[in-house]
Amino acid sequence: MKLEWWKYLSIVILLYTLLFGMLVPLGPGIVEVSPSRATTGAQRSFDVWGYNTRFKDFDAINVVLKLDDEHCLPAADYSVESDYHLKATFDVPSMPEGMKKSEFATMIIYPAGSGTAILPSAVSLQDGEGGQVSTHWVPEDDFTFERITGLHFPYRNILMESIRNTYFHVALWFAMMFILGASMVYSIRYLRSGNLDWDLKASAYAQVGIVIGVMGIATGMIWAANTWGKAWSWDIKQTMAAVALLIYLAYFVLRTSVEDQEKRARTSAAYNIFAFATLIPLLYVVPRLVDSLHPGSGGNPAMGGEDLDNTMRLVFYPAIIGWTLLGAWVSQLVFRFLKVQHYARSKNLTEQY
Amino acid sequence: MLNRQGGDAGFVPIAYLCVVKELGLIWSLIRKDWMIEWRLKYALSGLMLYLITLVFVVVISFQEISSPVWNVLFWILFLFVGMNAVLKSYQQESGYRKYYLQQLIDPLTLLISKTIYNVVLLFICALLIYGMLSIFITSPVRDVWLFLGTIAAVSVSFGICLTFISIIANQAAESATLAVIIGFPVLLPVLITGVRMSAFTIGMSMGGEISGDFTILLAIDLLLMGLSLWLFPFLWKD
Repeated sequence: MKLEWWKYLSIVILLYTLLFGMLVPLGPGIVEVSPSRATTGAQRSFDVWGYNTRFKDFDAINVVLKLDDEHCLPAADYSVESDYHLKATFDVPSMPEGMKKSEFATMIIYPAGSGTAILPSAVSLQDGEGGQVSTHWVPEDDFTFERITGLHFPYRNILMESIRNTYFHVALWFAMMFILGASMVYSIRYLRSGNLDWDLKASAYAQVGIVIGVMGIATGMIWAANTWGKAWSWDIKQTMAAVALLIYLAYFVLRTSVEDQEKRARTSAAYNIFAFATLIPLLYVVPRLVDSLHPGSGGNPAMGGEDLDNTMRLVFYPAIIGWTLLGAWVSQLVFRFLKVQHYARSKNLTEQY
Repeated sequence: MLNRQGGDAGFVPIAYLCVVKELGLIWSLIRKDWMIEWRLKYALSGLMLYLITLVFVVVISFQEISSPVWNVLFWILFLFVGMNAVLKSYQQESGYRKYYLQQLIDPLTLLISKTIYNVVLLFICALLIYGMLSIFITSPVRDVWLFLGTIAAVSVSFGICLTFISIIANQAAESATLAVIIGFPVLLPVLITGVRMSAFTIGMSMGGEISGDFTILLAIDLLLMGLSLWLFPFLWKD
């Protein structure tokens, strides 16, 4: 048997994905700031709880409240209670001119561990009575926040450690699209040539594509149970994913319900192409119309932007390739099985089983 | 008569004649379908009876229907009636008649004529459902013309989709069951878009603009029609 290097490659990549994706720690982050609302014009102190932070390691920590690039406020004083707990006191001046009476401020702490910890919308500030506070809002340029150093995945509230599911749930779903795409290509080749091997390949790839899709949905459901609180909440993408699987299950029903071999091959090839084409509106158009609970929603799927930083790309892209190659490998095995089965049936060898 | 002076000048009338001939063929196929349907009566009257019964059952069992429920109900009725109306498209083209048609006409001509016939049939069904619902319950539709536009657009998508599905299902022995199994998931994106669009016309805001939904339907139509035109010849030949 000739050496098929890409099969080994898929194993290597998936091992890398598993190790790297599971072992690399998350960057420092802020879990909670309490109280989460305050009025301006007085001294206010906040309890800050961090995640993966090492407050005790640093002599001087910048704790800053940020309204926008031009309006930031350093803490007047802070005390470190533990590695994960810090008390900060701010002399909050009244809201700058030209801003709304109440606004969310971002909490920035640097250094917090291996970098900066940020919590957007940490504190809701409201214009208060306007007591005597001597501080002023200063531009962000006055501080030097360095980017997070070292290797780790970004900390996101709610997602937290479950951000690692990107390499499984999302990557599996991508791999499914590639495998189903390959299945469609084989269907086209069948229609062009009339060679039944292509039809069996299309069927094998579709079967594996569906298994990968089910794995993708299952990993997504486990993730959803932990972040959304419910495994299945009829989110538009969940619904559409289920419908996509239904379409392909119908493909297998179709395959079993046509007796004549040539006819079955032709019909199912045509349906396979049709089914893949309907996946595009199903998975990429309709979910954009409706609000989704998915990360990065409000119209856009979570690809790019802040949801996928460079460290995550290091794992995410290989993961897609790895799952796709593994899928192709298994598809080849299924294809060989189908071919043997086909041969056995044509020679009437199966009757003894 | 034909222009004999230039070489290329004759091309225009010939292409024109081809188009006219093709249109004539399509028209006569549509007429043939209609005549068969009209003379046999049972298919058409069965469809009407099905439609009327369905609307009756819905109205009687719901009693009071709020606008969102009306919206969804309309589309569910349309889905069932539409599937019933269209999925039998190729059942009459079996046996000798199929061989006759295979010899006589191009498969694409047949597909186009069937699609147009089904689209018109679906639109009439939608109008009837809308009319009957409006008789029994006060209709929540505010913008009637927009609603008619919506059902016309959805009828086109349904017609293209179901015409193609029915030829696939027709290949199998258990074609009626198979057609429903295959048809429903494929129609779902169109149906969801339809629900969104008619929600606009009854004054429920779903966010976004209705023109965006029309564009999506148009894109789906073009995609599915292109695929049907490409794949149909493979399915039509035996």
